[in-house]
Parts: sequence; C-alpha cells; structure tokens
Amino acid sequence: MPASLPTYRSMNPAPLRPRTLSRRQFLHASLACAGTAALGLGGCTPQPPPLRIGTNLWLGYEFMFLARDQHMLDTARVRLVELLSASDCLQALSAGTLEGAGLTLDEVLSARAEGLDLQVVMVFNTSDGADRVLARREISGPRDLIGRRVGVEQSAVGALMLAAMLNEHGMHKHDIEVVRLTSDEHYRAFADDALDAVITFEPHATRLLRDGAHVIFDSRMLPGMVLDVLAVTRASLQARQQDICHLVDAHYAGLARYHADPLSTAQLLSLRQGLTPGELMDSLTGLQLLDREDNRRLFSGDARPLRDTALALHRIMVDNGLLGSGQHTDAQALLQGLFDARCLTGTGG
Amino acid sequence: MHLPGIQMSLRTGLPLTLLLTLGLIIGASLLNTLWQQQQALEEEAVADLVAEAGRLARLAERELQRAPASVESALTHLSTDHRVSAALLIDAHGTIRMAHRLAWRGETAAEVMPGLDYLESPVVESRKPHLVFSEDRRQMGVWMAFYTDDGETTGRALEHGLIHVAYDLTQALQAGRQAALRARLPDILATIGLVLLLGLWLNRAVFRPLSALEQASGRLGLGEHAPSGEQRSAPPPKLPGTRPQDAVPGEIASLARAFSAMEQRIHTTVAALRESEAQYRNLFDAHPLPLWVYDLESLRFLAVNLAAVTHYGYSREQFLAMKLTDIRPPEDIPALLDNIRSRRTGSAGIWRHVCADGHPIQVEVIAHRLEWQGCRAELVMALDVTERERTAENLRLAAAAFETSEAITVTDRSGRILRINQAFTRITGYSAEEAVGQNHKLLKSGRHDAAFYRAFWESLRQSGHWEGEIWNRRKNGSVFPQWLSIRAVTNSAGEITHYVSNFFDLSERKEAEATIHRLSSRDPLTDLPNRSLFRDRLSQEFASSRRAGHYGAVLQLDIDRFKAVNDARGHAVGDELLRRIALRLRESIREGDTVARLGADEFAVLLCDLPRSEQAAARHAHQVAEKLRSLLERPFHVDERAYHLVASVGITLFPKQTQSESDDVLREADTALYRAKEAGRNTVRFFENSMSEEARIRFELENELRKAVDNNELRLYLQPQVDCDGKVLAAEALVRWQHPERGLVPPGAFIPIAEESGLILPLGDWVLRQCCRLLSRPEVDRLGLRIAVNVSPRQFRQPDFVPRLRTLLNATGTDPTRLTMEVTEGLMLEDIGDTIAKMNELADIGMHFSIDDFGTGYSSLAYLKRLPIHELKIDRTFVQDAPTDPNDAALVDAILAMAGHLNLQVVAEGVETEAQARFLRQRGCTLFQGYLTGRPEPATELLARWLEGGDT
Repeated sequence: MPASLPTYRSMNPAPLRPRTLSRRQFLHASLACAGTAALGLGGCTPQPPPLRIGTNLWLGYEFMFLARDQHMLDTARVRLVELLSASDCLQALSAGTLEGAGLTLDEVLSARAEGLDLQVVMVFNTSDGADRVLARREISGPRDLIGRRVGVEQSAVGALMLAAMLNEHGMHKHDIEVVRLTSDEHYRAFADDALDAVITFEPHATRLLRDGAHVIFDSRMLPGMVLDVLAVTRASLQARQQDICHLVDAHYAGLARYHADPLSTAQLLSLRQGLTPGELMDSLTGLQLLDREDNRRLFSGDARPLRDTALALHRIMVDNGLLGSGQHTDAQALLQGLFDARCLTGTGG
Repeated sequence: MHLPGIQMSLRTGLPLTLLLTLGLIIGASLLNTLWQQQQALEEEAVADLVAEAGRLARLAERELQRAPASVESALTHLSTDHRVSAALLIDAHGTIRMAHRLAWRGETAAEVMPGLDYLESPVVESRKPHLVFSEDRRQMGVWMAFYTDDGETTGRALEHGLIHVAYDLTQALQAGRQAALRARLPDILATIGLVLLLGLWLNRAVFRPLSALEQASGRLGLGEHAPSGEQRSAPPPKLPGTRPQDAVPGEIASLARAFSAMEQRIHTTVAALRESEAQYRNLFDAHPLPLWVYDLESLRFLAVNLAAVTHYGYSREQFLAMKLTDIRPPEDIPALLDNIRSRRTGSAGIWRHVCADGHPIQVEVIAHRLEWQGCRAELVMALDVTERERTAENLRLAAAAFETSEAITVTDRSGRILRINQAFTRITGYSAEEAVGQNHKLLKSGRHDAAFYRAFWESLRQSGHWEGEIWNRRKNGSVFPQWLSIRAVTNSAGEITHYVSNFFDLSERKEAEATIHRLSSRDPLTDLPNRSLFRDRLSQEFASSRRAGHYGAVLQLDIDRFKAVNDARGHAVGDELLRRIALRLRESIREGDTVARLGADEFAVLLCDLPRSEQAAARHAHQVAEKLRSLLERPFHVDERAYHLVASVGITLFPKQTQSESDDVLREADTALYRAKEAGRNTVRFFENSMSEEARIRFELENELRKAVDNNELRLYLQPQVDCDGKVLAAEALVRWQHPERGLVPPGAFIPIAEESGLILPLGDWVLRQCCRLLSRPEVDRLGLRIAVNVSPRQFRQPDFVPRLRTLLNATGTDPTRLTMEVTEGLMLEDIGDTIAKMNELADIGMHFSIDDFGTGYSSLAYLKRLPIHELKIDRTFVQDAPTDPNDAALVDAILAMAGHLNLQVVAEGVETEAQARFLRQRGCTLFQGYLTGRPEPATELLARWLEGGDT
C-alpha cells in the first residue's frame, strides 16, 4: 500500500509541493489583516480561489499552457482546467464550476442565447485552414459523400463548415447523413470506421491525417469567420479583472516565446498535443495567431470588425436552426456588451 | 509597572497591560477557532475525497467499456474543484488512461509519479478506499480500485484499475484562516477602542495634573523663582497646565496645595545669601594676572577673573561653561590629565594654551589646591610667557640650521676659525677642538698658485662674495675638490667683521650623479627602455595576462654579426646603426607594446593583449617577428655606405604552466633566440619546437596563398544541387587550391587562414568573378542553372561590397537572378541594419539569398521574416543523423515545417546515403546536395558534361 502521497512529475511546480504556512507567514497574514482593518481600509479581503478557465484540446490555446509550464502564469490566480470538449466547457460554465473558457465565437453566441452571460476579452486566432473536412482515402471529393456518414460537432463552426462545403459543391443537407459527435469522439469514431468523413480541427486533424485520412475541404474557404476567443462570465470580469488580464498577458508572453524561438518551443508544445514538432509547425500554418496589436485592431471602434463577424455568424446560425427559438436570439440583444477590450489596452496586474 | 531595568511610565504601562491581557484572551480564542476550522475542513475534505473517488470508481465500472468519454468527462471536470491537485484513472498495466492533465494520458503511472510502487500495493485487492496524507495533512489523496468485466464472461472481474484523486488544502486553509480573522475583527476593534477611551480618561484626570506638578517642582529645583510677593498674593494654589473646570480628584488637589506652601518658604531664605558673595568677587576680579578656579574632578571652570576674560577672549559665561581642557591644544590633553592625576598638591609649570580666537600662547602657571563650594578644586594663576619662549626657540633653530650636510665655517676677519659644524668635521677630518682657533689656511692644499688667491681676495673685497671649485687638504693629507662659497659679514658701519664659508665635497656628488644615471630607465644611446624597465613592464604584463586570461609574447632579437661591423667600422658607426635599428623597431610596433635594448646588439619586444587562443597568439607573434626580421633586412645607410643586417628572433608566449615568474619568460625567450641562432641565423624560433614548426608551415601557406590568385593556382569547383527527381537545378561554387608542390589543398586547410589573414577578400572576389564569367557564357546561360556562392561576413561587411558587385555584374553581363549568395546566421547577429539594407539592394536586382548551416546558430522568426531570404540550407550534421537520431529528425522536421510556412526553399547538405535521401523525400521535396547526387568537380569539366546533355 502506498505509504504516502505520490509525488507527481513536475510539469508545473505548484500543485503538490508541500506548502506549510510558517509561523512568520501566519503572523504576516494576521497583522496585514488587522493593520488594514485598523486603518479603516475596508477590512482585509482574503485571497480568492484561483479563477477557473476551461479549455478543450486546441492548438490556439496552447500558448496559455506554454505560459503555465514556463512559470509565466501564476497558478494561484488562474487555474487552467483541461476538459474534453467545448460542450463540457459550456456545461461547466452553466453549472458555475468555471469562470471562463476558450470557445469559438459561435459557441459563445449559442451560450448567450441560452442565457449564459459571457463576454469575449480576447481572440486567440482565426482559423485559416485548421478546421477541415477529412475523408477516407476512397472518397476523393465532397461529392463522393452523397449518402455517406459525416461526423459534425453540434456547433456553429461545424454547421458553418458543413454549410459552406455543401454550398460550394451544390449539395443539400439531406444528401448526406449527419452524425452528431463531440470533438473528443472524432478520432475514435473515424478510427472505428463509423464515419466516412468528419468535420474537425487541430490537433485531431493531423492525427487523423497521419492515419490515412485526407483533406477535402477546409476553413480557408471561410476567411475570418472561425475565431477562437477567451470568454468569461460577466460577473467574474467585474470581480476578477486583474486576474483575467494576467491570463491574457501570460498568453501573449507564451506567444512571444514561440515567435522568438520557434524551433525549441515547437518541441515543448508538441508534447501536449501528441504531434511531432514538424506536424505541429505544419498545423500552426492553418491558424492565424493574433497578437495584442491584432486584437486591438479587432476590438477597436467598439469592436466593429468583431461585431460584423458575429452578425454574419448569427445569420448562419439562425438559418441552420442552431440558436433555437428562445427569446435571447435577437441579434442586437445577443451582441449587447459581447466584446470587452479592457485587457487589451494596457498590461494587466 | 516596574520591570527590572525598565522604568515604564504609568501613562503607557497601564493601557499596555490592559491591551496585552485582552490581546491574549482574544488570541487564544482565535487560535482555538482556527484549529477547529482546520479540523472541520480536513474532515470535510476526507469525506468529499472518498465520495468523489467512489463516484468515479462506480462510473468506471459501469461505463468504462461502453462510454469511456463520459467517465473521462467526469474525471476532467473534477479539476474545477480548487482543492483537487490530481485526478487519474490508471489501468491494470499501470498506464494512465485518463488524467486531469491531457499530456499525461498514455504515459505510465511510474513515469508521472516516480517512485510509486502501486501495483504491488494491497489496494488493488480491495475496494476499500485507501487514504494517504502528507506530513502536515494539508495534502491528501485516495486510491480506489475498480473492476470491470468485458460484458460477455460471467461477471468475473477481468480488469482492475485504480482511481486516484488528490487534494491540496493549502489554499482552502488559508482562505478559511483569513475569513476567521475577518470574523474576529469587531472584537479586536472594540478592544482597541476600549483601551483608547480608558487611556483618554486617565490622561485627563490623573496624568496631566501629575505632570504639571512634576514640572513645577523641576523648575523649583533649578532655582527659577517667581518674585515672592506676587506668589504670596495669589491663592488658591493653581497647578499650571490644569484648567479650573477640569475635574481633578481630591487626592491630587491637596497634594498641589502642600507643594505650593513649600515653594513659598524656600523663596525667602535664598535671597539673604546673595549679598555677602559680592565683596569677595571684587578682590578676585581686580588681580592683574589671569586667575581661575576649576573643579579637579570635572575640570570645569568654577570661577574666572577679569584678567582671564581679557587675556583669553572668552566671556565669563563662556568660561564657566567650559572645561580646563577647552583652553588646551588637543594633543596636550593626555599630559594634562596625567599631570592632574599624579599631583597631590599645587604645582607650577609651563603649558600651551589656546585663546578664544584660536591663537596659541605659552603660559607659566602656579596652582594651589583648595576647597570650593564643596568641590576639590585648584586656584590657578597664569603668566603669559609666549614671547620669552619664542626667542629661546629661535636660538635653538639657528643652531640646528647650522648643522647642514654642507660644511660651514665662521672665521673672523683675519681668517681665524671661530666656529664649525659637524659636516666640516666629516669632510675634513678636523674636530671642533682641533679647528677652532686655527687659521683657515689649515686646509690649504698647495694646488693653487698665488694668483688664484689674489683673485679670490679681490672678489671678496669687491663683492663680499666668492664661489668656485677649490682643492683643499683633509686632516689625513688627501686632497679633494670642493665647491666653496664664502660670504663676508659686515657690521653696521660696513666694516668686515667675519667670513662665513660653506663648502661641499665634489667627489661625493660626482659619485651620486653616476648612480643616478645608472639607475635611470632609458638606454642613453637609443633612448629605448633598458633591461630593468623592460623587466618591470614584463612583470606587470605577466601578472595582468594571468588575471585577464589573454596571451602576451616576448620577442628577443639579436643582430647577427654586429660585432664584426663594430670592429671593422668603429664604434661611431656601430652606435649610429643601433640608433637606426631602434628607430625602425619603435616605428613598427603597436602603441602599448614595448621595444627595449637589453644589451649591446640585443633588443626585445613585449607584445601585449594577444588573442585568447594559444594558436592565434602564436600566429600573431610569429607574424610580428617576421615583420621585424624583414624590416631589418632593408639596408641602413650610414656615412654613404649601405649596411645589410640580419637578425635572429626568439619567441616565447606567456603565461604558461611552466612559468612561475616573469624572469622565466625572459629565460625562455633567450633560449628561443639561441635556437634561432643555432638554426643558422636570420630565422625566427619559438621556445617550443612544435610551435615553431606549426608557425612556419602556416606562414609559408599564407605567403603562398597570397600569390595563389596571381599565379593562377585557384580552381573553381561545382557541386550539383538536385531536386527529388534527380534533376540538377543549381550548383554550389567551391574553391580548391592547386598547389604546385603540395597538390590539391583541401579548403579546410586554407579557408581558415584566408579568413584570419584577410585574404578571404581577394579569394572571395576571385570566386565571384569566376562564377560571373561562367554564367555569362551563352551556352551555360541556356542550361538555366543557378550558382550559389559563399559570401563570408568579412566580405559582406565591406562598405563597397554592393557597388563593386554591381560593377562586376555589369562588366561580365551576368544575369543576377542566376546567382544565390550563401550567408551564415552569424551575419544576422551584428549590425542587422546594414545586413538588411545590403540584402534588400541585391534582392531588388533579382539575386537570391540562402542561409547556410541553418539550425546550428541563432534562429528567430523575426529576422527570417525581415530579410529577403529564398532558401535555407540544413547543416550536414543534422541530415546525416536524421534517419537514426530522433532529435535530429525532429529538428529537420521543424525546419522543413518552418520553411514551408515561410515559403522558403530547402537544400539538404551532405546527403550521402539512400536512407538519408529517403528520409527527406518522405517529408516533401527538397534539394539535395551531397556525394549521393554528385561530388564537387572542376567547373569546366562538369559544365562540359552537362552541355553534352549527359548528366542532367
């Protein structure tokens, strides 16, 4: 029987290192507390628990993890929770067990339509070919899919990709059999021969390509429409702005690290994504990574460029019945206060 | 409150005691709360931990086979609980199937949790949760086994697995603690408030009246009395600092009344004493000499009279605030204290004093012991003797001045010696007893004739002075030269009364001058540093080279057969030659290096700040030696004759292990010089034989390389670059050296020499010129090949590199789009602005750029994006190991991906085997360059073959 707690290999030194509060630390905490109280500065606020940000596996979010593993992200302030899919993230946001998540813009719109008050504080990237339709070898093009099974995540990106592909090739939705899956199921379903094609994204796409699938359509046909964003609840942005901005800064720090030294950074990144460094760099070419300047441009003028994209997405989602018919589906209401640039203007705490 | 050693006032003591007591009570209760809270948190955590793990285990048993995603979703979601630090699902083989960190999936538990021997643990035998805790119980974990069946066999457990969940309570505990403190804040604030209120009341009712009473009695003690009449007429007693309306407790009020009555009585008695004092003070004050009384213990002045005030310049008040030591110079104080301690009764003596304006005086004092106001004291009378002492001192000084190193005699007008000093005795040998009373002729040597003495007396009479060299005789009979100066002394009537003469021994001075000359650091003939100065500099440089870690060298030169010239042509010619040699040497070395003349025809050069590598330092020293040697070979023209000189040079480097001090260096240089002479003169030798050989070969090679371009010994080679289908698209230009004796010299043997000596510039020019000529041939142009030329940073950095290249292109009519410049990553590190400007200018006319040896140096997306680059060349070392070494494979992968991303062509260098080619082909089409697809061949032969259409 294990005699004591196991020690985990350190990816990040924080979690299990025994941390005892020494007498001096205790005294400090108490005195600081009593001191601020005595000065009438509104008492002492205990350090809040770390902000929980959920992510599913997506290359664009990887720079936050790079920042965490390189100690550029304070894990006492922000905790990155690795979930299996965007659906898991949305479910946890609804349940209040997450304060924010990396999502695609359409997922944010759906969530708002369902009454979840999310705000977008940053755009990680736009997809420039990283969202792809992959098919088995024997299927040479989209038209071969007529009557076949196509796996799609129930999201606007999935619908968008599907609609764009069908439209491009003069096909209709009823020409194919749509199978609803969450992203973590793509790889297995394809491997089990349950699908003939799947609409998926990185890094799943590269792993499928490695197994013999090939690309028949990708997001280059939809320039600027597929965005991955950092969305947080309105309440947490009010209460924890400093910590959210810290996460944004950490992400940019990770991104800068990559730009300064791509060859060795790619090796670090490839570990988590299950790709080789070469594959990783290849798949990164499918992403347009946006830095702080790019984001400032997108958020400028009351976030006009982003609002236009959101409106276009909204239209597609309504057309495809992805927004349901609730009272929150009105475009103006949905876009009200959706984008918040406060973490882009300066450096956060 | 009275603690031993600490006197604490009531005002602070009382509230402090109260505060401490209340603080202790609150603190104890707070600690208790915190402890209970920690227990509760822990219990809750244990319960939650087991529940969560149990839930996961149940879920795993039911769903792991059918819907693993739902298990994993639940497991990853655990992480949203702040306490969770790990959540793992481990299968029967010890592999992590699911984890809160996706990166851990698929790894073995042993890798992630080193040292864990969980498979042998009994936990897998039972479904009971197994809890573990860290020592401080802030971290805890649970292990729980679960069993799945494959759904087909009859319920027998086939697979078991483990769920592991761990909590870290540090943050939760800290948050709880802060919350508890916050809850206690009202108590703490109320306590502080209570103590403050109590303190305020005590201050007003007790402390303030008490402190007023204390101040009043303090004033009384100092003798500050209000006029007694007024005081008496002002009842009721009032305490200063209290206001009538203040409620003062009864005890304190009656204390104040009693105090006031006492004060009245004291005032009346004091006044009577004052009058009798005045008479005695008058007597004291009228004394003409300074008088004072001082306390023997404290040395304070107790009384001073008017004369003291006048004489010393201090007012009476100032005096009474001073001590006896204040009128003494600081250096005398120890003696003063000593004197006072040792004396039992009064005394007299002479002391130095200092007046108020700072000027020193000398004072004779007479002191008398007495009792003064109950103190042991002394009455002192002071007489200023400054003038008297000064006169006496002048006399002593005059006597001392008389004793100089020059001899002095004083004679009367007839020449009878009245007085001599000790120098006279030392120089002449006559003591004062022997000389005084004798005539000055005593010293006469007889070397000077009568005419000399006539002129001597004439001058004395005329000007009262004579000075000159004169020979005199010592007591022992020896005759010596002296420099004599005689002056007549006249009385007030202008008559000569005495003669004063000074003289010194010229023979002593002549010796001293010679010594000074010997000790001076310059060689008088050539004005070069001499051996002793050279040794000084060498030892400094030797020490600093050890510290700084760079090399230095000593070159020792000897002019061969110089003695023959000297003997044949005489010393004048020899000296002139040495001066010319010195001049040439001095002009040819760097500032900071030293040339010295060590001896007759031996010179030495000290080279400082040589490179840090021993080889490079040796090369440099050898170059300088050769330069100096050839410098001396040029004829010297003296007196219309040409002299041809040759020199041998010995070199040694320092610092070395074998040298413990700078003299070792000189010895080695000397040995090296000896070897050079042994080797037949007119040569250069190192102390180490091996170094000499190496330097010689290199020197020859460099000299020959210098001529190689002109002698048409360089050959242009080409190595093909082919695409993955084997088609030749380009070739890299390489240079080979066809040496008339050595044969084909490999580039590795001469390119470094060229880089270091600067010969790379003409060499690079030659290659560029040859390539342009090739490309401009119409039949070559038709082949459509590109030619890649290596450009060294030194070449590229030349300010006129671009214009000269353009001139060359124009002159040969070469199409610039056929040329690729291969540059190294080093070019990006320095002066990137210049690099960008030049590259852009050349890229504008269609030239391509390729980064050579990519992956070995500094790679940043930033510069790759900023520069007009078309191609990356993967270094041969990566290519060669890529099929076998996963690290190199990953690097090649990454380079290929990056190149693809940036739209750059890739050339793989050093492709030698089919395995390497296959590896590269699998990763997309790159250009290959290597033995597999073509060795470097003479350009003309290769082109001829291609033109025949055979090989491409």
